[in-house]
Amino acid sequence: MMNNPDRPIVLVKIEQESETNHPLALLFLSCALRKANYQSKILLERTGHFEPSEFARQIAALNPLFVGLSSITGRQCMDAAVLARAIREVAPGIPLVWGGIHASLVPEQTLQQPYVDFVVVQEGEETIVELARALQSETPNFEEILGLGFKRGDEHVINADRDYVNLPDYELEEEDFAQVDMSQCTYDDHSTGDRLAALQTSRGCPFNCGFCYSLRFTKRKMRYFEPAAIQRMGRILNEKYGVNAIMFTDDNIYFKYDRMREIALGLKEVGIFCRYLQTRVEDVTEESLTDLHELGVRRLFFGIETGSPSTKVLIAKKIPNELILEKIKLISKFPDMGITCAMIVGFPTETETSINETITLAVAMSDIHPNTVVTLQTYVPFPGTDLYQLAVGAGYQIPTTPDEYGELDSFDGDIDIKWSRYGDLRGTDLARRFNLMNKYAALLTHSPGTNLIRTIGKKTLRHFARQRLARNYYVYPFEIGLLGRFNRYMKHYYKDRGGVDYLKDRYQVKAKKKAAQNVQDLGRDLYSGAAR
Amino acid sequence: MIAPVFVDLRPFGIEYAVAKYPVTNAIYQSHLAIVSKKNLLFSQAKLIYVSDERFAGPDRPAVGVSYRDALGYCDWMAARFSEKFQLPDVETWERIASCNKRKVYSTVTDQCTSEYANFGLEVGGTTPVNAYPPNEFGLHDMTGNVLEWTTSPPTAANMRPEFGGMPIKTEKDLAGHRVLKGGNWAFDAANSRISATIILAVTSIYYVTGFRPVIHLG
Repeated sequence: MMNNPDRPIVLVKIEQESETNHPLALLFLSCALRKANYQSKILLERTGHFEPSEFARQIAALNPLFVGLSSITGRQCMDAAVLARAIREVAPGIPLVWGGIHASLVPEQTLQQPYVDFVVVQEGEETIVELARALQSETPNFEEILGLGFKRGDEHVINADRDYVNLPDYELEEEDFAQVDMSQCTYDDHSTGDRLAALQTSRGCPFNCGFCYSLRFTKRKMRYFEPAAIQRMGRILNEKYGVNAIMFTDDNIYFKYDRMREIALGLKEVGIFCRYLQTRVEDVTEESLTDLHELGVRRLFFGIETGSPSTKVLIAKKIPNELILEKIKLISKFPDMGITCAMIVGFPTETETSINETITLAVAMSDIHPNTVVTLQTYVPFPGTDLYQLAVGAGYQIPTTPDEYGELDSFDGDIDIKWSRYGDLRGTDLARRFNLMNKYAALLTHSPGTNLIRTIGKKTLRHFARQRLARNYYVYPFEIGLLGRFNRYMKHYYKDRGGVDYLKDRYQVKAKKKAAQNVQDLGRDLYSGAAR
Repeated sequence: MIAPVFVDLRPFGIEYAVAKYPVTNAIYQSHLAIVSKKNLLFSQAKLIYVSDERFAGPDRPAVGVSYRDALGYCDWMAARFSEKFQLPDVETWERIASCNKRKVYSTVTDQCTSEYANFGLEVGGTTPVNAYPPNEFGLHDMTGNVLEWTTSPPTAANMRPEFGGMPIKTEKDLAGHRVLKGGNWAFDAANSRISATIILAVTSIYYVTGFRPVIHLG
């Protein structure tokens, strides 16, 4: 029997970064509510794809007990604020609860906004249930709910932190996944023909990188799902939604290698490959790579962050460049095992010297392993870190409302960077330069394309990108324009032929051909004695 | 190499002799050479950034020295010279920086410009400690170049919630941090004011922090 049969708890997330939604955080909350016999509804939207007042009316029509809004520092904060204001206007009586990373990092500031009634600090699975009970009570006592911030008259009260939840209590079941349109939450990988979904197997990270929210948010406390639980969740994704590959969203899944291996094997049994793994580069070994390759892993994601030894100290991630290059050389023995190296430029106090060291490392990595994708993302100051203080010291004005955080969008290239400089460039000019650097860094990859023309194209573009990055020469970036046109043309070309399905079929045919070729090669080798 | 010099501020009514410059790479390195040879305490301390051209050079301030290592230097000096070598607390530091006047910046003109201080990422690194003119007390780099450790832990009021840092709840939390003063080569003018503060963990080894010992003469 539901506690709130007529009044669901609505949980909203507005996704910004990609075309696919990853609503795992909301699914866990919904799971917690379900277990406490509360009915919930998850609504997902994407930046720029919703009309706030219309969406607010749609939410108000559900007559929710309260609306929970997910917040991440950056553009998503602004979108959440716009929607919260619209809900307040349409239905002023609906309590608005902010949760997520941003509300947890700056709860007092978030609570100051007229369109915020409560903030849930850190993990919300238990807090949200207690809040639901309190809101249904005739004499609610918010003071007793740990991890909750609320308003008492003009006063803003932030209760003491709550202990971290026991993650295995929130294993997602069929009814949890059914809360969302999973077709919006999976996507097709054109290079492998896989249908991918995200899954989280643990929370927390044992490291203390100076730019990361995790230190403040999870305080390095690790919690895990049992591999058997992951397998059960994987089975649902496979059987119900046709998912056959997983992208882990853990902060660090590789930290316990044997556990990760057990998870990968368990998922393989239910027809799911772990194609992408996020890990630390210093942890990979030849044995683990061989193992992962056999398990079907095809791309490793490393947070390399910087090539500058001084900046490495600043961000407390001191992996020497020599070790990074050595490990990438090791991975290059597996040509079809790609790597994505995430790097950041524009850390507070960074200058041309250290930024150039990062670019040099990016080029060197791609020289070693052709299948290296480098991203040079612009640093965005996140509250809760020492680096944030350094950015503020260098002139960054702390936003005072969630809307103002919306300007911290590292994707549109218009951040007013006051905390770093590159030659004479500062402010938005610097942000645009970083953006251009990122576009050229993306062209450094030079693994063989799907046909000869693509291979030649990739290698030509790489040549230009490499020269530009190495020589710090960005005048007339015609390659970027040409590539943009080509990509738009190809998008329409494929769309006319059936879009994703056409691509999927096409790549699967190629994959089958390649597999057949491998069998033939093996036969030939056996015949010639090479295999012996 | 610039020798360590102390300015006696008793004529100005301040019972301290204050290092004319922040401790330089050369001086700190000679200190490290001696303590490591004798295998004394703090032999783990090292200058991390000396190979970075932005901070290298004997007369540039030693950066990346943690609060504990800065204290170690002071203790070592105190044992050697039988003087009360120490780091200043916030109140003392502000009193020294303001030169007995109502000043915003510790420069002789009370302005923060590139003629008088290394700040605002203009140079892109530290500069030799005598590169800019001294303040009225004859002290260099009280504004800009490197942040200077003080012995003062922050108060709960110092911890600005909009910074989003770890909630400071206990005395132990506060004791793990110290207030730093004076701005540095990367901070803007507003954050180079005498009143401006930054709070870092005592273990912080960022390349924007240095230190300046004082001798209590009272």
